[in-house]
Amino acid sequence: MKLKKKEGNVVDYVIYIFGILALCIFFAFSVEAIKEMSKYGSANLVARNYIIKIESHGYLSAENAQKLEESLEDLGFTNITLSGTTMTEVNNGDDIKLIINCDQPIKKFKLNGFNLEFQKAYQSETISLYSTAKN
Amino acid sequence: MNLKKKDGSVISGIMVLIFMFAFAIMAIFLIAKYRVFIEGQILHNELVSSNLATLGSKDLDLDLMSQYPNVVQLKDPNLTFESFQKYLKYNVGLDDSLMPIKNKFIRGKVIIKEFQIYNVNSNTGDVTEYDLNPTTLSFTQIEHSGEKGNLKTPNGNVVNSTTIHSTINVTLDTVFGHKQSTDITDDNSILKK
Repeated sequence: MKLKKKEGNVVDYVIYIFGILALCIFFAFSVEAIKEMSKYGSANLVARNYIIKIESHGYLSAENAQKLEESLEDLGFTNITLSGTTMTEVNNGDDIKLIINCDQPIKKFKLNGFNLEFQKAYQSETISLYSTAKN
Repeated sequence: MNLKKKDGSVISGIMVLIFMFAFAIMAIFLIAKYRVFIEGQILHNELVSSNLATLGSKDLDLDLMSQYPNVVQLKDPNLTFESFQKYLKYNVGLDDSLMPIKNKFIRGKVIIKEFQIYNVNSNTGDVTEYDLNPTTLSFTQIEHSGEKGNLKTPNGNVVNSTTIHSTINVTLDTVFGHKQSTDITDDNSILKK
């Protein structure tokens, strides 16, 4: 009788522990998903600020390109390239482009036996905005 | 006694499962809601860039500006709308029929619901409004005599200088195959230096 009662408790605890573990995994996954989306949104906001600078100057200066890259690096982005971006001054009214190619770090979850492993991976992103020069 | 204990375990297990399931569903919906919010912000940036692109010198009435340097107006609503469509397609990633080609979240055609131009004559205070009919893609011209500083756009912004108002409707993916229709709108004005 006593033994059976203990067995019942053990089953209860196992269920609770697995439940709490699953919730923790899901919570961690949710937090990571929101962080990644938030960073992607922030990167787009950075791009918006710099397309306005390109509009008013007619090009993206080397100094502003450096600042743009630093802003994206602060958000965790790597392998940032600006190829295709308007880097030389154009005439008032001409097309201007800001094309950012970069890698966004993301976390992947892998269950290895009873170990939950966080693996760092990278996702390629392209942010492009087009407008006209107003220099 | 034994039976009661087993019942208790089963009930506890079911309760834990229900709680986990409810938490998971709630978290999925919150993530989806946040994703729609972020995607809406990105689309808003893209719409603003498209609006601002139409306020370039190619679409401005330079002849009028050479006569009256204070008067900055758009010369032709049809040309302005063509520019708007061109840059909207570039910025959002749409094909010629405004269907998404690169956007991961938009489902179906992007609809231009509203497109209005407010040409302001700073000397007289007169405002000429051009309203696009989205079905016929033609403009209705409305004159507002001396209404500069009084006239408001559909977003409630006062028209003090030449302004573009646009609204697009997009259908975004949410979760479990559900879609959400959202309007993205903004007003952008040109201010002379």
